Amino acid sequence: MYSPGYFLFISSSLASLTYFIGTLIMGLPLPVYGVKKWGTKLILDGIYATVLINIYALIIYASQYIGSILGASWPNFFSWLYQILQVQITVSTLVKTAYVAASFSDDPGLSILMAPLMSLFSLLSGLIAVVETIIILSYVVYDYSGVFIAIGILFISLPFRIGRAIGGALIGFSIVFYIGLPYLPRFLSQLGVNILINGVPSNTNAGGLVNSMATQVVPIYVEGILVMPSAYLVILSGLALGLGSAISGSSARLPFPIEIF
Amino acid sequence: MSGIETLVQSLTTQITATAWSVFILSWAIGWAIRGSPIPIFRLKREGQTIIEDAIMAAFWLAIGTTVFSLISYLAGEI
Repeated sequence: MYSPGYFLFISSSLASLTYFIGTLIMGLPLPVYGVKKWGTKLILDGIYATVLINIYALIIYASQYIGSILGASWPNFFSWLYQILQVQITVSTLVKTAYVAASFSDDPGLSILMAPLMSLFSLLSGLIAVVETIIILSYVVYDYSGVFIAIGILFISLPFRIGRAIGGALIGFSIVFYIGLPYLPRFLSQLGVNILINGVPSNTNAGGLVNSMATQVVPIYVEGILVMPSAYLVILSGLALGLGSAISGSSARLPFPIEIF
Repeated sequence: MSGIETLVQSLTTQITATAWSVFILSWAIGWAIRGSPIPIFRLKREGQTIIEDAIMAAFWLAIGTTVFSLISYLAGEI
């Protein structure tokens, strides 16, 4: 029932409703400019929404085409995300194993490492949650960008510009994230912070493990999983806002708030 | 068809019918004001504006009815 075609069909009806409300207002025998100008506006809105409805397939095709020109592939992106997750779980398991080994040891030199190991484990769990969030966001964008664009057009079709800003924002968000999100691995690689290049620490004794984790692995992970992807999402959000603003013809807001920290 | 589509389409039909009625009313009121034996230029000018707006509204109504019917027809054929 909630397919893009269904939303576009309702949008088409709403666009014609907007248009005919415009003609009704335009034909009113009231010499009041403030009321009359809405007639022209609504007629233009109806035509604009109809144009958007009819170029829906073109918008989808153009998004896919631009994505392919950029060299971004959704299957490769998902594969990269799951590899990141696998590496994180491996490192996290290593830390947890070291923690358990230290907790069973009678050596006070090892017991003293339990607190930093636990902190590292918490941090790694947080980073795993970040990657999981990116995976969920990616699936939402990949599976529902067409539906979001159709809903955006539906909002733009509403009479009296009720949902114009949110409609433009939805369309802008869907197009920009559909094109830009699979480009994240390349973005990180170009900045030299792709964590798949920097592997699991090779140090096997507990003290060396804590040292290499705290001084090498965790900083790289925070940079490559948290800071740079967040910066990239903020860049995409800015582009989405710009595109949404251009589509709606007014200032637009994203359908969800984005905060880095 | 579900409830929303039926509601929107019946609303559109009613508004289109109302718009045609309003066009005729505006046309009549415009000519009545313009042709009234009152020697006030601004009043006659308002009458002229109402007639012009009514004609423009009728033009867009006719175009809109044709284009939207055509789109519905083509969409139904695909």
